Amino acid sequence: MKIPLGTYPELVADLNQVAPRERAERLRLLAMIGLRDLRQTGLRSQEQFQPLHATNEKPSDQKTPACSLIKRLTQSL
Amino acid sequence: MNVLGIDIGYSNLKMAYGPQGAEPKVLLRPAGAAPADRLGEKIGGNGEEDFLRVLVNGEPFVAGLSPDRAELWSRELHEDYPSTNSYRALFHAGLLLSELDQIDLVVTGLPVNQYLNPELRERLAAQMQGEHQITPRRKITVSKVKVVPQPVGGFVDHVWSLQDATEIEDSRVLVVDPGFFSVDWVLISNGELRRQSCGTSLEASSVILDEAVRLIAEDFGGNVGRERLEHTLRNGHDQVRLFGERVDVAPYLKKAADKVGPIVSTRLRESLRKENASADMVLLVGGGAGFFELAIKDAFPQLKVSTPDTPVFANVRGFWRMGV
Repeated sequence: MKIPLGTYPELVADLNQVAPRERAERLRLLAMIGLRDLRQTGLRSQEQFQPLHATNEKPSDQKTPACSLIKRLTQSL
Repeated sequence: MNVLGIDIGYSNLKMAYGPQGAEPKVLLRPAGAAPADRLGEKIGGNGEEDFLRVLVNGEPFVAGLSPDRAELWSRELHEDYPSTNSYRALFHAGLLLSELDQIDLVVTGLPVNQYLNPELRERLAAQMQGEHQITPRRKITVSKVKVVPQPVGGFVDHVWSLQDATEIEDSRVLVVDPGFFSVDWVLISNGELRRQSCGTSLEASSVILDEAVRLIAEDFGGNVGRERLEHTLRNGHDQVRLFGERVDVAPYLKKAADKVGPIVSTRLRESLRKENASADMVLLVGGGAGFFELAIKDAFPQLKVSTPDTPVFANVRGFWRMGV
């Protein structure tokens, strides 16, 4: 396995501390941690997005008719 | 963008506020306000104040208290209410409660007959816009103000609550908003206000309370007072004490509503005469919705009469929604 030195210097530094035969296992562990973090971040993003979704500047398609109607009425006043 | 929807009523101060992109917070306070020196020592000095202290033109006022708590200060029940110091005190209390230093847009309502007078709505907008000295050490700035007819807020709130608003896009919706001082209505057709079919009646909740007080006096020999009855209802109680006896208020309120409600519904039907098509539905909003529900259903038996959850907040939720 070749890892570009300039692209992931922190990874290369980490792997240099590990015996060459154990580096694949080290990479697998790091990938697993990365995946778990990605999933949790994704969940958090969704949770934050939910309440906003109801009133966001970019409403869901479901709320588009309501937004148009409210806008038309507001402008007519 | 921070938006404040505020309805400074004769009985309650209602607010919906918060930034664009989140659900608004809603809040209700009694609409009593008076110069601070009109409060009795017992109330003002017990250390557990449930009202706010604000400045109006540099003069200390208390606001957000039950209207019967101030001494030697008459309650303002007239059409020029928005230009009174009590109204300004309640506005300042609302600004303070919003917890914001800078409000980008305030949306508020006027009774329909006042809204239709451009001078009155421009005067109110000018009064609310700008920098306000709320307390000796707190200033709050309002960048812009929009004044709308009160019942329109209830309509917007209803539209937003629908799963699919296309069902109402080409409908004719009669919105009836019974408040303490006036009952207002608007007809909205294809998303536009039909000005010729809007109106206001002063046979409102305060008149029902007065009538109920009169009926109780006939049966029990004493005057419980409108403000006391109002206070009882605001606190969710169903009895008022008179000469040591507990009086159930519900039968008296119903009898009073049965008398006053049809007067309003007749006026309402008269104002719709100019329309060449009937309404498709009736939306009943506002704090007095419960008093007038039967009369409205009787007046429009063929129409669906819809009332939102917590109708007292419907207008301000809609005001806020119009602002964001």
